Amino acid sequence: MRKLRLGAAFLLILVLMASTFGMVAAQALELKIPNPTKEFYSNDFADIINADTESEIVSLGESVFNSTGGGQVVFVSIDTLGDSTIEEYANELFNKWKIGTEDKGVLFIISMQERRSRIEVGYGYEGILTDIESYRLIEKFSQLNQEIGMDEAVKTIYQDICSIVSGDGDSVYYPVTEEANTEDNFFSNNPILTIVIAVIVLFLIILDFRLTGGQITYFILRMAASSGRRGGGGGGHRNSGGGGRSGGGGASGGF
Amino acid sequence: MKNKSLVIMLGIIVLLAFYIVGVQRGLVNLSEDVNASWGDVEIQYQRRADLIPNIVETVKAQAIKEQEIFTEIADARSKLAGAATVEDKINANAEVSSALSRLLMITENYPELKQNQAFQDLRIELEGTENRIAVARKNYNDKVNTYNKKIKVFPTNAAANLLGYEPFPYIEAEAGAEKAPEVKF
Repeated sequence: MRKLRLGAAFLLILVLMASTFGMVAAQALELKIPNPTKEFYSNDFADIINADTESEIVSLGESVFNSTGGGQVVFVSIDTLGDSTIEEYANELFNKWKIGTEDKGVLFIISMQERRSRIEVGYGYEGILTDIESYRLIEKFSQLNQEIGMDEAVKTIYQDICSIVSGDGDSVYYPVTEEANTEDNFFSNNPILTIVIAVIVLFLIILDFRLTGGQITYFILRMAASSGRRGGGGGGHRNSGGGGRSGGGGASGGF
Repeated sequence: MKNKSLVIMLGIIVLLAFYIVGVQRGLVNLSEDVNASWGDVEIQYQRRADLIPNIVETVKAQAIKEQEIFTEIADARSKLAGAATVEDKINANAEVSSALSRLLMITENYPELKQNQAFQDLRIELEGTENRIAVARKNYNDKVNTYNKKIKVFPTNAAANLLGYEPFPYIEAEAGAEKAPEVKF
């Protein structure tokens, strides 16, 4: 009799425990995030950029890591997002790869099938690379992709992000959106005035060449050229995540 | 004989006490995790709430026909201000969220707004904030899930009941709001 009762109690516990494990097993399905490449900074899983660009990205990424005290800018291209949105995917990947030391990380990700792109910004860089700047860069990427192709577009945006996190954000050029352009662009609203100004400028240049041999013109040109330059190169071999986290900062868009 | 059963009883009580203390410690940790992640959610909620006056001002400047949306937003905001418990705050924010998305839908009919640089920037910021809310919400719900399971599942549920631990509410994503609103100009 006593044995029977003991047996019943044991059975009850077993049933309860089984139901417990059943509940634990019913977890939400996880996203399939690939592991980063050895180079870490360039992860061209969808094979959309050429090898030269990849190595340029890697060396620029390494120099940014060294010059910013552990900041990491990572490029990723994937074929498809599966069932997730680019926002979910980017955040998951960012936190899994732990991009950036002290949360100083930026992820630039492109999904080919959905034609979506996103710049995900880690906590540490949210103040430097704002959502609005991220959005403008995503817009610029879309525009460059149509004008000069994917390879150059990826490279330019990667360089822009690196410039911004290195504190050289002023050198980054943002295209003006077409609608905003027609809205209040001085030149397109005043075609006659534009022509008049162009003639005056041309006259001044001719005058400059006549009088000083073009010194002022060359000076202005040199100023314009040097403001678009930036340094590269550098060593460093820390090609893995720095432990960074992201809370969903940044912006996304189509291309 | 009597002595022996007394010893066994005492032993069981001591073991039980140890067990309950252990459960309590675990629950304190888990509920602190939930509280911390709730703090993150609240920060992002606040960030969104701070954007609303600017958005409303910008839209109002355009003299739109659908004036009732502004009352709706004002109502949602006053509810938000009055919310005290976690559950109230979640519900009030759901209302803010739906009022805001309705406002954004209305603005689609006003092309002048879409070209307004200030409004464009506000929309980008709002989109970023909604995405941060989504991330914080997911994190919070994960933590709540772990905690709630612990206090609802045998055998810890008995101890949790005894100690008066209550489940935390989940934050449901509003229909159609799981995805951050897409900015298009």
